[in-house]
Order: sequence, then C-alpha cells, then structure tokens
Amino acid sequence: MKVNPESIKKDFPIFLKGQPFAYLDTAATSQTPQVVLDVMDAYYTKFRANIHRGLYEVGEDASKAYDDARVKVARFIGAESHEVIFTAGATASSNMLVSMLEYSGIVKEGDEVVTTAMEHHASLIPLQELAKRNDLDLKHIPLAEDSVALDYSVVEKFITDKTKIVSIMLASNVTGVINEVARISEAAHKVGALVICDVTAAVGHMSVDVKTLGADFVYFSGHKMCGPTGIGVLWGRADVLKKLQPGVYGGGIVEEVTLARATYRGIPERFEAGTPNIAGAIGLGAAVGYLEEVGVENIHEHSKALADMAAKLLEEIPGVRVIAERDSLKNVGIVSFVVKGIHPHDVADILGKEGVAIRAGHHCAMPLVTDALGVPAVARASFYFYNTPEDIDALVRGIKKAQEIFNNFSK
Amino acid sequence: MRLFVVSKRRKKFLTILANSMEELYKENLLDHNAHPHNKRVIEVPHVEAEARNASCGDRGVLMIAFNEGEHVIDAAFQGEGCAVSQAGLSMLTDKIKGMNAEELKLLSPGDIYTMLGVQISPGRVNCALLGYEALEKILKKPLREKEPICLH
Repeated sequence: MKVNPESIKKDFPIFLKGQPFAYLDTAATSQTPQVVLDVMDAYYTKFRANIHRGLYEVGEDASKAYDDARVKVARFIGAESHEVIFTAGATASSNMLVSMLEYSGIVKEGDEVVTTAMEHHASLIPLQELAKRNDLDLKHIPLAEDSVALDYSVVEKFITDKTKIVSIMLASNVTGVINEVARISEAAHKVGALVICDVTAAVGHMSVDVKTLGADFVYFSGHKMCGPTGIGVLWGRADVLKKLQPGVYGGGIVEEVTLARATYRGIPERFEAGTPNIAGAIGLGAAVGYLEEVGVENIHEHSKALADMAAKLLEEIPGVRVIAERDSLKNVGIVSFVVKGIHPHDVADILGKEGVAIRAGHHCAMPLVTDALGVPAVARASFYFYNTPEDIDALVRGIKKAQEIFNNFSK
Repeated sequence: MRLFVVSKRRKKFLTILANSMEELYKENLLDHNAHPHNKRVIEVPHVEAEARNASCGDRGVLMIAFNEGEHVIDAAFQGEGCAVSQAGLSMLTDKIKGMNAEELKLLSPGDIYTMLGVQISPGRVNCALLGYEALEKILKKPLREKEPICLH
C-alpha cells in the first residue's frame, strides 16, 4: 500500500496551520500525530497516578496503560515485553547500558571495544569514557574508500578474541546508509562479544526486528518516530539482561532494602529506577500503533523514494555535492549535502526563512563529518511519510536562492 | 565597504534581496564574508584566542597586537564557518584597531549586533558572537605576552 502524504498530514496538527511547511528535519525530531497527543492528554486529565503503587482505580488505569505500552513497543521490534526497558531516550539508554555492563564486570583492562567511524555521539562518547576508565582499546571500523558505507572487508581484522563489546548503528543519521548489522553481529558472536545496536535513526522509518539484527542490545528514542520527547527504549536479550546489574539506582527496582544493602527485582523492573516518564511511554505506545497502521515498510518505501528524488535533483544543481548513500535500497531516507561557497548554516538559515526546515552542522557525528567525510559541516534533509515531492521542490528553490544571494559576492 | 557600479544583474539581485525576507544577509555582511578584512596571521608579538561554535562547526582565532599603552596596533583573524561568524570576525578586527584595553572591555554583545547591522535570531547568536567570545578570552590574558599560534 502506498503512503498518501496529504492524508497523513491531516493526522498531524502542526501541518494544519495553513501556510506551507516543508519539514525535512525528522532525523532531528519527528512531528507528533494527534493520536499520540490524545493518549498523553488522557493520562494527564483522566487517570494520572503513579504506576505500580496506587491501589485505586486511576492508579490501576495508569499502570495498565504503561504496561500495555511496553507490550506494544516490544511487539513493534520483535521482542518480549520483559526485555523492553523504558528510558529517557537513546542517550540515556546508551549511558545506562554502559554502566550496566561496567558494573557487571563485563570488561577488564586490555579488552577491546569495536565501534564504527559513523556513530552518533550518544553511542560513541559513553564508550570512549568506558574505555578511558577501564584501560580498554576502542577501535573504529572505517568507511570504505569513496563511500559512505562501512568497509566490511576489514571487519574480521577489527573483531578479535580480545573484543568484548561491538557497537554499531543500524542507520546513519547523516548519510542515511543502512549498515549490515546482522553481518557484524555474526562476526562479534563468533568471538563471544556482546553486540549493541543504536537503531535511533532507523526505528519507525524501516522495519526493525531485534532477532534479525542479531544484537544483544538495541536502543532508540521515541521522538524521531512520532513519539513524544523524553522517552526511549533499551532492549536487551532476556538471558543477558538477567545477568546484569542495574545501571541507575533508586526506588522501584528493589526487592528488599536494609541500611547497608539492597536486592533487586527481575527484568525489566530492576532497570527502571524512579518514576518513569509514564505519559511518554503511553505516547510512544500510541505512536507505535499509529505507525503499524500505516505500515513501517510503506513508510520506508515512501521516504527512500523521496530521498532518491531529492538526491537526483540536488546533484543537478551546479555547486551542490550530495553526501548520502545513493543506493536507495540502502538508505533510510536521509540526504546530506554541501553547497560550494556557502556554509551549511547559512543554507539552513535561508531555507528556514523560505519555510523549509533542514538541519546544518555535524549532526552529533563529528568524527564522521569532519574526519571521514572531510567537511566542517553538512546540511541535511531527512524524509518521512508526511513529506511530499513539493517539499523537495521548495528545498531546491531555496538552495538556488541561497546561491543567488551569496554568489554575487564571491566574484 | 567597496563601491559597486550598479549593473543590470546586480539590480536584479538587489531586487531579490529587497523582496526576500533575508534580513540577515545584508550586503555589507555578505561582502565581509566573501572578502574578509584582516584574514591573516599577525607575525609580531600578539595575544590570540580561539572560539568555537560546536553546533555548526564555526571556528575563529582572533589575534590582537597591543602596544605598551595597551592600544590595539593590529588585529587579524583566521577561521572558517558561516557567513555571520566570519563576517563578524572581519568587522570586529576593523572595529577594534586603535581601541585600548579599557574600551575593548566595554564592548557588549549589543555593540556586536549593531556592528553586524542585521537582525540576529536566537539561533544565530552563537555565530554572531564568535569573535566577541574570542575577544573576551583575550581580555582575560596578559595582553603583552606572546603566545604560540594555534589554529586547532
């Protein structure tokens, strides 16, 4: 079934304002459909209570809604619900996971951690700090020459018997490239390493199944897939999770506490200390339901077709260089680019005044942008199921206008 | 600012500029961006500081040579980044020549916006104040000390 962006737009209040709004910044955060707002509103206005505590009706309603959200999210990624941990987002997931592994003694001095040259800072920096604290060797699988894809020919050289953790993103938030995670997972498991997969740029944009990825841990934010901000997920394989210490400590995770020590509950409760983002989790559950109704595969078809169209049209503009995965089958729906003689920030500013929202910068993947791709910053257009070919026309017009404004002075 | 003969092409461009909402991209700013003033390295003893705008990758190194009376005898910059940040550095180096340390300390972000002559939206504040940030760092240093040139 094909996605009809015009009817999709009607589900999103932000597009009902009247004036054209080419929102090409979903990779930063998506827009929110009314169904998500409605369930969150219902929680705050009809059954607000803390979960798993209140022995009164609304307390039970809140607990049920929260638990239901967990079941929905688990189903969405092909997981069991007790393997799904709600967090504050991908960054919180990544940091908490590193703590869980560290507190559980998974790594020791001299061990190796393998990641890639294209990771988001949310994934990279917690690993850098883990390596620093424990004297680990952090290695990065590079990009293939003249390509935005990883160099798979060196994977076996990087993943060795010393490797304890392998961390790889499913899709790049800069180039859109979809990585062959299953292939990396297989290599990692051969040497007994644990595999972490950051699916933040992919989930809700292409089908994500934890079993197909072969990873031991998967994490993402809710806000790039129609969910609210401040909610995210850490998924872990049950048998691995059961062996791990909590990464964050506090109320709600304990069985018994004395002044000297505490014992912890089973999974996933032991990893959710404190009152969670209840409304956020309920909202994420609704987002998942909404995306399933449209069909994630249909969404990916739509986004990658638009990304392909955009890349082609941008390449036709003299002075524009596209930096993205150009095989549309391997692109999640993201096209980055640079315009000769105009800094991406200026491009984004002029586009913004034309009603076209894109993002410029290093996109929290500074090593990828500045070292691997060799540019100080890029402009990025990211596509979703509410985008139309008209949005791309507006993008092209805006870039030409920026060139017109700037080129008069570069002579 | 350079003087232009208004050509037909330029007239068309000026119309586009006037009709557009590009308050930010005024001629003077674009001209400084394309043809920056004082974009060079100062060879004599001077003080320098770097400022970065991590979100968009702007970078600027401001260099100031002071005489014994703490007057600016030369100012220059190196850097890369968006038009607002680089034109800002260019204009700032022009503006501060001849000023003394006390006058430099009295400069405020408001003075920088006035100097740029364009409307600065909240999203561009860090770009606009890149040179100012480097200047503030310089003013915290001993002004007569020679420092190694560091572009990274």
